[in-house]
Amino acid sequence: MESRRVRGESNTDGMAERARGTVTSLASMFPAEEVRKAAERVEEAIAEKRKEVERFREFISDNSNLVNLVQKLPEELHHDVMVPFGKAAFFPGRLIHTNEFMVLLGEGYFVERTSKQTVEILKRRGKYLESNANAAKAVVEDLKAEASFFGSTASELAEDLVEIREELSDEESDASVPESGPHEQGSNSYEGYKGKVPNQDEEYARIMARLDELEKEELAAERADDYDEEDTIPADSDIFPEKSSFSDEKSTDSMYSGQNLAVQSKDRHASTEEILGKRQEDPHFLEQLNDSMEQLDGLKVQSPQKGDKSSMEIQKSKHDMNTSRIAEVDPVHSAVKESRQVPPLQSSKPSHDSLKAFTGSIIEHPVNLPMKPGQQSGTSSQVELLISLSSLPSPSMLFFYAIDNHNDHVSSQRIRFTHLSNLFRLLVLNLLNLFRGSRCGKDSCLQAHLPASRTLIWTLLSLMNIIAFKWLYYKYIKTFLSFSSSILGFSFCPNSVYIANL
Amino acid sequence: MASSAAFRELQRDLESKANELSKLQKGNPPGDSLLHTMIASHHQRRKTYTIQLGENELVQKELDLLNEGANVYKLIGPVLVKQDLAEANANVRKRIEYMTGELKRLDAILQDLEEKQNSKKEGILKLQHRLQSLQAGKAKA
Repeated sequence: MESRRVRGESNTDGMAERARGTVTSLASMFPAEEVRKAAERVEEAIAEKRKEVERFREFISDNSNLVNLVQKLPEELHHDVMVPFGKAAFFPGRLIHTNEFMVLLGEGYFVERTSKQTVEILKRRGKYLESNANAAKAVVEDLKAEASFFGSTASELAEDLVEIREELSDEESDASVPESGPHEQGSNSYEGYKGKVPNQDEEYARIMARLDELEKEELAAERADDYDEEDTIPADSDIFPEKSSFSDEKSTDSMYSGQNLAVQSKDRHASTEEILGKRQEDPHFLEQLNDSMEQLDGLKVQSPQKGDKSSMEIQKSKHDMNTSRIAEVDPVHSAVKESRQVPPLQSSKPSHDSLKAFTGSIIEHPVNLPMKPGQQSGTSSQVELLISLSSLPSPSMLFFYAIDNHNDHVSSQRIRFTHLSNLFRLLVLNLLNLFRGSRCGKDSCLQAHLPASRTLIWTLLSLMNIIAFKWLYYKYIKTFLSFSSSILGFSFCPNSVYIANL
Repeated sequence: MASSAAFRELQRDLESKANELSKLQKGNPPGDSLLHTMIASHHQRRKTYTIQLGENELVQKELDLLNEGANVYKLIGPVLVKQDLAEANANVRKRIEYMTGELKRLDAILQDLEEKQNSKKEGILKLQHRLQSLQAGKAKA
């Protein structure tokens, strides 16, 4: 026993988890008395079932005899027989209607049949009996197996065998399982016989491991989809480095936090913190995350809608980060549910989300952004605005947008129009918000935290922005004004308020 | 310590009395007699119903295989009475329906009874556990 314990410990030295082992003698696990009683009960059950099988066999043989008789009777026109009369008498008689049979179907119902038809009925009955007999035989077999197990347990008890259980990871458990395997199986069936649920520790661990694998696979598939979508947006890769370098981290985070509203569970918050804690090796976005976390204080993680969008956009320059994230995500997976994975991922890529989100405001598909943003302007721009607002617009988005404006003269007018209308709406909303600031609950409205002056500045900037778009022809001024206003505007105004107001 | 020991003794007595009371009410654990007999009788009824249902289904099958001209007789007491095939079919079908309904009802009742029995068993087990723990505590003190 000691040697076994030592082996267990030495194995655990190399393992992250500590293995706790228990060594119990079988005698204590399965008291001898109970084993014997259980064995007896099984024996009784076997005896009963054997009797049933016997009965069935008798029925089947009777049936076959009857079939023969029925087939033989019509051979003669009449038969001379000794007819029973009472309990102890016979008298000679004649059997005349040799082809007419009154067959009992069951439940007191008789039917007149010919010999051939009777034979058919009997044959069907025989089949039914045989199936019953086979079922009973199967039961007997099972009971026999149980009995044999009990016998082996009893003999093992006599031999003073010991059961060893160690709580280990899967690899280790495989090694230790064979030793205690037969005993555990025994315990399974033993307890099963007693009517309790069998010992499911092993199974449970296996199932959990399998679930984890499946979740990982799903996540990997999701990532694969993400990567696939990335491949369709090559143009964005050039712009993203700019964005990342330029992006005011604080502002994005603040905006991000401002945008992240909606009712979310505190668990997600905790999970993001958890994941934060684990992502030590990436200082860049650790900083980001810390900033965002500070501002997320009290707020919850983003809405699932945003999650979908954010997941769709991952830039190539951050591929490595992503892969490292995946590696981290996997071990975390077991701790965090998959639904919660999305928010932490999002929190690690606020800029992406924002960029992506704002494009979503103008156009539905990210792929279309550089191509035909104007297409969507006519259709349900209101809805798009909603979408954009509910997701995360950001100044970086607008900046990118402005650059796009530069590049694409053909559609610039349309973009300008949509942009203008959006800004206008934002302005209106913000004004409304300003006046309704008191209405917002603290949890859902960042506005309440901010001084009124800021909002005024915002409104002014947005006005200027609109003016710039309409009347100024200096593109750079336009863009500057637009993004500055949007920085302030989007950072301060919470999404839910917009949605509510809309 | 003496007071705590006395307190524990009191508790133990209380437990044992509660146990006895429960035993009286329900019968010997684990065989709570009243419930047990009820459950057994229900099981029996259910068994008979099942068997009869099986038989009736066989009869139904055979009746379906008969062609129109066949004579069906019903045994009522010592008398074989000729019956119409359609009538016999209808009767057997009705019986089958009735028996399935009865089976379901009995199943529900059985479930209830079994749940009650299980809960009572659990209660008794808990009391026993508590008794044991108290005794162990008392032994330590």
